[in-house]
Amino acid sequence: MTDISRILLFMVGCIFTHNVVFDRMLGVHDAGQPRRFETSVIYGVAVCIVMTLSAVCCWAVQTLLLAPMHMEYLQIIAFSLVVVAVTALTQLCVSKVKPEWMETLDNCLMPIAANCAVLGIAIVNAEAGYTFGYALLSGLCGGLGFLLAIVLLAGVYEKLEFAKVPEPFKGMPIAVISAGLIALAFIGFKGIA
Amino acid sequence: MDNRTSNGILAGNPLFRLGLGVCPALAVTTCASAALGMGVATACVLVCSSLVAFVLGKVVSEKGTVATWIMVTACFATVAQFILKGWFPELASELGIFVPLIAVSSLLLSRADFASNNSLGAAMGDAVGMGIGYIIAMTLVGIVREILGQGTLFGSDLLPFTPMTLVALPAGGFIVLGLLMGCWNAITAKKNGKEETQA
Repeated sequence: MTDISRILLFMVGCIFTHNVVFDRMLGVHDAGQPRRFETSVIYGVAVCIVMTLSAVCCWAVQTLLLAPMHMEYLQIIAFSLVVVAVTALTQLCVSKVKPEWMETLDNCLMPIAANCAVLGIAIVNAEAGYTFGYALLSGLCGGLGFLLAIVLLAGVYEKLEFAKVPEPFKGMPIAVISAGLIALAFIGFKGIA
Repeated sequence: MDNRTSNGILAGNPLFRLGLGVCPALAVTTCASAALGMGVATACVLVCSSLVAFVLGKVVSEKGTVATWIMVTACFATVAQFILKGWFPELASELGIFVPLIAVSSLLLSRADFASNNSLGAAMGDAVGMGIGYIIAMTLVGIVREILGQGTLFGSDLLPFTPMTLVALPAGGFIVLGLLMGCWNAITAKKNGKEETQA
């Protein structure tokens, strides 16, 4: 297999087969918040940026700092600190470059730091022992997978508003079941990568 | 029992009613013992971090709350990982990355926020109630998924066949959790209705 086809397969695997929300089940709480379609796209892009940057930074912290000094036991604290810092930095940049995005996102990106998909992908990368390139791709494609998931869920929410749902299932329960049906569709990607 | 504690277990159950801590509830609940272990670990971290959040709540500025709570929960998640790896290595390998991810659990962060804005009694009552509620909810999801997905219960054979393999897959996790949420809503609504008619 050539390098390019290996990289493409890895990307398809990260976005579809091992989708962060529907297969790895990371960041489900954050993805499940009811959002409008436009908001979900902007939020997804923001998460994608934070996830890519933090995957790269956490890779650097792991390979250059924690592994040579045999301090892997500090991984959780170090990675959390990196994720919080990256999120704060992204918030600063976005508010300067795209102020209208910040208005849509209630002027705060800090919930992204609490999204367990961001920290989760960083830990998955460290455990798999990826090289720099694969860590970067894993972060980027994980973010794209998250974007895909929350856009799909936003579409489902808009349809659910007009659906006749039994009283106890209104709100969260029916949303979780719908997410399950989407996850069922994602099993179809298993044969690809 | 303290009113706030019982609220966390039934009407305000963190998993079934508030939708907090969903990720581990979908990922590690394919067998009941792992689900129970995850619930207990999360509940212990929850009580400790709520206590620290209550103390720190007086000094942290509003802008830095999320960052502070994440650092506090990351410290306790590290402790939980040490304990699990040292004493329960099998459980730790079964839970995988979801032990470190306790650090960014929505359950812990929202409860830390609550603890910092309330009195010590309310904060602790809430943390204990939410912790017990989360253990019960996790175990319930684990029991249903293990029986339907593998035909076993806490590792011992229960059925001679697997009723629904789908339930053991991620998609089945979502569907079982959604159905249990709906049932929980129906039961608590009925109970609340009874209390209202009695009053």
